[in-house]
Amino acid sequence: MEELNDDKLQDLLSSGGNIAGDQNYSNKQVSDLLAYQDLFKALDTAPVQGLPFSFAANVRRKLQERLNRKSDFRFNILAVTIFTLSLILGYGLLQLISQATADLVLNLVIKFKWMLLCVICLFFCILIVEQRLVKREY
Amino acid sequence: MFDENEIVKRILKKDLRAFELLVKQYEKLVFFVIHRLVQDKQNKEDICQEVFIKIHHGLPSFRFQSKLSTWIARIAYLTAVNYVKNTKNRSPNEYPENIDNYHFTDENPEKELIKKNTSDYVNHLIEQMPHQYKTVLTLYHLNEFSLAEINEITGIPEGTVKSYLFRARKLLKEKIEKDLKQENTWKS
Repeated sequence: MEELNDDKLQDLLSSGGNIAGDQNYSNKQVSDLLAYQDLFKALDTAPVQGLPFSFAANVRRKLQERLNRKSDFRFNILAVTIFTLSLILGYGLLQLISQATADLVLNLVIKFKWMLLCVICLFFCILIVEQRLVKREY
Repeated sequence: MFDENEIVKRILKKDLRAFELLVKQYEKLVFFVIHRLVQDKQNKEDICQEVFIKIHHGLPSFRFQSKLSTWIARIAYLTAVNYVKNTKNRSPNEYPENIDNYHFTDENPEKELIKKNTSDYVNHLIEQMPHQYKTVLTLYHLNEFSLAEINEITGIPEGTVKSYLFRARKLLKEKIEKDLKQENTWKS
């Protein structure tokens, strides 16, 4: 009679073998094999609960939102940079064309600095709010 | 027919529809790993989403040196292990340092569960096991990975994977047999 321990029984089942009805094996070995067979069947059974049907679409939406947030952030940084550079460039050109006008503009800017700052801040606030509130269709 | 190479190429060209197809193809694989390793029922879907976002970020560095499914399973496994580590302090389960010494406790078996469904009872028992056992059982039986692939996914040597798998199945078989015997004694 061949000796079959737990490891050999598991190996046998993994390779698709079967000893049920074979006279060379004891009742204990056959009953162990049947127990393992039931266990393997249970282990191969997928869980009843799963992910919702819309899972893939939800992941895509979440990813799209993250990508949009990233591109919005890049756009805002770019907008601030372009705005600042164009102010510096404009002032530099004005200096070259007419020193007096450039000084006048600078004095005006300094005089109304808080108002200008508020207008600029308001512009960027509107930009950010619009980016967050506008719901995109994916 | 799902063509991995084609889908990955399309995703790298920022095609999100292709990514949705990839998610549909591998959502079960990811869910099985997360479902078994993470106890927290509420967060399972969020963790699965996080896994797929990591996959999207990591795809540009994927060089097809392994199967895509193995690579995805590795990300799912590492995410689950990190989550479990971070929530370990809140978890009531304490396992021995050497998991070879692990045994089921002799609490009353959930008789109703055994009667109702062996599969449910097996899942209930697996929940109590150390995560190494849960991992190899899930990857081998549910996700149908080979021992070599499990080694690639988890980093556990192939021989150890095999020994965990055999020992986990032996523990489950013995526990179920014992519980059934106990139940029959109560009946008679």
